[in-house]
Amino acid sequence: MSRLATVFYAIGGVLIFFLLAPLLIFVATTDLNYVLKYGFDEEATSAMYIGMLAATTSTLILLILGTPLAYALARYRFPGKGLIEAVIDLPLAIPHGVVGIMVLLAYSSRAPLGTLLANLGMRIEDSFWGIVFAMVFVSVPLAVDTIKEGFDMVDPEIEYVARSLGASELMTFMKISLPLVTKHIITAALLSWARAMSEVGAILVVAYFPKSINVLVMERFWTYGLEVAKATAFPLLITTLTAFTVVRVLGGRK
Amino acid sequence: MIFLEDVWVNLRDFELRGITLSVSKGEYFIVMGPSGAGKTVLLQTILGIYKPWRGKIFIDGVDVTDYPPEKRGLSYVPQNYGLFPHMTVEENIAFGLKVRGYSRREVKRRVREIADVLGISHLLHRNPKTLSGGEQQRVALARALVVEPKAILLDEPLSALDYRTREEVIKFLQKLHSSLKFTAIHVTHDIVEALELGTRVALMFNGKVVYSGQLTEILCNPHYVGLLSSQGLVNFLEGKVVGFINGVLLVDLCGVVIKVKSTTKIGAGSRVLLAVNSGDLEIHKDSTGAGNVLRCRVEKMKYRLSYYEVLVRYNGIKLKVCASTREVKKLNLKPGDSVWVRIPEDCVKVVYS
Repeated sequence: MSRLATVFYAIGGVLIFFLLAPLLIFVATTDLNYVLKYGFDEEATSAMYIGMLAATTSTLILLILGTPLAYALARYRFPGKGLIEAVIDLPLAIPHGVVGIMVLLAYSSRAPLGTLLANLGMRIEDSFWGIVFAMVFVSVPLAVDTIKEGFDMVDPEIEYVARSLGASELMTFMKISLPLVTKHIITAALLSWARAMSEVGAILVVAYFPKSINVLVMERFWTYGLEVAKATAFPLLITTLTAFTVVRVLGGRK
Repeated sequence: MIFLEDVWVNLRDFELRGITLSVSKGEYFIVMGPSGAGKTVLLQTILGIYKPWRGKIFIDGVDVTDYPPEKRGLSYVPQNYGLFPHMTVEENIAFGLKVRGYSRREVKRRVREIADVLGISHLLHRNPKTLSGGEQQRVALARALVVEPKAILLDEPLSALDYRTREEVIKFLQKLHSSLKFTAIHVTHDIVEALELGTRVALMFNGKVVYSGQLTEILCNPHYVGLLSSQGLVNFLEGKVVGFINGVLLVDLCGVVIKVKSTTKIGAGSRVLLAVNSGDLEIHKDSTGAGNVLRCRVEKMKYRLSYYEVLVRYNGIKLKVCASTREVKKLNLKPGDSVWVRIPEDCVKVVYS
């Protein structure tokens, strides 16, 4: 190993240690009996189900709406593109409590847009869709930026070839461009899902109920203290870690 | 037949200006010019990627100016071949046929047939990433030809190949064209390729076609005689006129002013395209004290049996210099060396201003 590599590993190691220490201490100090009692009781199981379902729904919405946007940003030039890119990254810079307030102001059933949504059965205050909306909002930058990065790497000349061979724009997108960014889409899905699962601030404001696991952990921390909160969060932590590892390993093999 | 009538295309930082061209059915047409002349933009305009703001494009008598690429019936082979990396060679070749809705059996038959003609039958199940440059090119040609296009557009198809493969591919393209008689527009900056493959040529400079006609006519035209010498290797240099004194133009080439003999006066500030034969350039290890010298760095050297092709670079300018084996030995030339390249003033031709 070169000298520089050794130095870089050592410096990088500090950051890894910084991340690992709380995680390991969390796992090591969690009482398994507590986990069995509080992590898998009816309320926790239901909250876990709601959290995961909402995170998965928000991820699907992001992939469906974010992929065309990412492609447009990677391929086309249009006025205001810089501004749109800034708007996409905005959720990274806004405190999540504020995100919750903003989502509520715009889409609650008392707001004009919210009335429209409520008529479509998507009332957001204290509802499943409220959790989904908050999750989508905070995950937009991760999803769109990751997929755009993939499209940036697809040579437009390949698309020109497909067009010359008779494929329409849509067919070229579906058969050539999209399959070439599969890896980026999987990564985007994983990151968005993980970001959604870790969101609390915005969800607390928009939809405290139905209680998702994210909110339940906070509530139990406030009501019963650290031990119960840790036990409640334990299955969530393991699930997320497993999902990350599986996708990374599968993605790496590809 | 492909016909371009006064085509103007405006891109953000480049413009095609009033291109008029005609390519006959079955012709192997060459578009030649230095890099940045607009050859690729022209090809992609014919393909339908860029839309002219003025002028028309006709294919087989039909005005296709507003047609999307997929409706023009042209096949495109880009410089890097553009093979679909997520498909096998067979799937790559079959793509255009499947899009056209041919039956599975017919697709298979046509793919096998064209693979036979191009000698790539043994590669059909391979992934394009595992192929050599020459093999990739054959696959790209097969994919382009299998759909029986009205014309095939080739963007510098030989530039990514090494010298030996290039020679082979030129011979192969000649043979393929004489047996299949397809219409081709072949973009290149290499005069050797042009001479070996085409009969008619369009010479481009700065977004314009400055000459269009028979390659043989260029050879008879005193204006271009110096451009195509016995070696057939020419350097195109883009410069800016800074003065004109007693039949000598002073041209700025990226910071160095060189003298160029010229019968016509060209105003200061005009951009000019110069051509100088690689065989006419002199290479020296030290400054000879004479004018018209560029301080260059040797980038590459290729041995070509009777001589060396020495690739040198001066700022943004790349030059090919043909040096005899004796000369190379005498100067002990190797890549990385600093050299002085002299451009004899009576050997430079103003091709266009």
